[in-house]
Amino acid sequence: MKLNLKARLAAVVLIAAAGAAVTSCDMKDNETPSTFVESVKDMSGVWQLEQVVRNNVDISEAMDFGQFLLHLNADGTYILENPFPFPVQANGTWALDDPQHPFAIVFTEEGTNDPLIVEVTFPITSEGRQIALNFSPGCASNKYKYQFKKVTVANE
Amino acid sequence: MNRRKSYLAGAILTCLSAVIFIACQLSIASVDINQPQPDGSMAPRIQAGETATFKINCTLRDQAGRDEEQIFVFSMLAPKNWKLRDNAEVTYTVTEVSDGVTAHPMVAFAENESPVQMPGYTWNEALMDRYGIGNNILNDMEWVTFKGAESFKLDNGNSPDINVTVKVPVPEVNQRASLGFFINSVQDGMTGDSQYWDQFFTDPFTIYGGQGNLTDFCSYHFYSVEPTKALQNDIVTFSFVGNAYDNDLAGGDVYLRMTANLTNGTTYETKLLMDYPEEDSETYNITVWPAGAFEDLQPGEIISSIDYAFTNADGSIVIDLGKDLEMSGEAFNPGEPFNFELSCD
Repeated sequence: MKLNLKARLAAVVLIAAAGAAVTSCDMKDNETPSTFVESVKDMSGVWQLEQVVRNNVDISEAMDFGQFLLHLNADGTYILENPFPFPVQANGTWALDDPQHPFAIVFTEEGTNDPLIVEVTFPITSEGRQIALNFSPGCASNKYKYQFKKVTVANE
Repeated sequence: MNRRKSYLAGAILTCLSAVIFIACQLSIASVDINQPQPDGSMAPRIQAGETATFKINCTLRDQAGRDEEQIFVFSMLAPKNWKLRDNAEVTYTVTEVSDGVTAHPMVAFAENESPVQMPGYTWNEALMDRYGIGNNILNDMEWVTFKGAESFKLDNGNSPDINVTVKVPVPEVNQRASLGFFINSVQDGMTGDSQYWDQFFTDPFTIYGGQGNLTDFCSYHFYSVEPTKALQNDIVTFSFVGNAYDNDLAGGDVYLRMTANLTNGTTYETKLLMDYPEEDSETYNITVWPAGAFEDLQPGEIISSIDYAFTNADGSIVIDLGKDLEMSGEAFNPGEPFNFELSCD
């Protein structure tokens, strides 16, 4: 019985200590907020279409998708080279919805004021940095995932 | 000593519940997919856009008794454009533990709920993994799973009949598909032992009087197109099923000859060499982006449909809709091409 009391006491002390530690962290956060700022994601570069999934079926081998290069230029413009079905048809400007925690790329075609938001994820692969865009360029019931890998292109 | 006793009691309880569980059998006794026809008869076909009623009669045989709350589970396989999750109204009646008349509602599982025996899968993914698309050959189908909004409890020796009714408005397109049904319980959660669940795949069910050519999910034809609904900015796979019927085309080079019919009345033509079948297959495929497949198509022009046929290099052998219908024993117009309408549900 004595042992139980001791154990309970130890538990109470531990919980109190943990609470104090958490509180301390909060205070530290407030003091040095800049320490925890997420770095801005740099997605500019040339991205080559590597994988295409249509309605959960991989159709990457069905067409020569690798000829599609998406140029996301550092000056905020984008160029579609040899495109396949894509949410935008014309070149224009691009931006991330949130530079630190991006969930989407916002494309705006030249000559329009209609931004088009395309969901983006960052799959982890053995081939380096990749981005995956999810969209429905035709019927809404047809879901596509385009996965691009970053490439180095001559004259870039 | 006390601890030993409780282990013993636990072991006995475990064995006892195993015996009780084994004695409980869930099975589909009959399925009725017939619909009332204009002439008063019943048949497995329905006018496009009308509401179909399906009845699945099940039995729960509990010879040794089972003192456990049950939540009944029912799944259905149908073409995606039926939108079962949103459109189907599913109820069941149960004898013995209820009055056998009251319709108990069923609700679709949340997307993230898993059967207890198949963690990591949603119910619908687990069914697709286990049964696929059943007797069908086109993939644009989905399983949708419903569970009883409330549980029921079996008393010792209960052996109730459970009768499921599905009411669902069918899409306004011409279709033929084999429907699938599956029953289980939340408590069982798709165990590997077949006495706790049952499945059934129907003969073809047809929707007639709707838009476009018949999309036949469950019979072999010379042609198939995936996805079954698409626009010119989709990626579309056309297939020539070389072994659907005897023909002189399969075995050599096969071309897809397409004519795009535009909304402005213009037509554009193209002819593309199809990919040879993979090993152990006689199906030729070609995947196209309709908007990119016709060189003359101008920005802003809209393709409303594509007429197509499969040919050899010089066009002396042609497999078209006329030939397909002739070979399948149906009425046909010689030389009529296949037609793929570019539209969505």
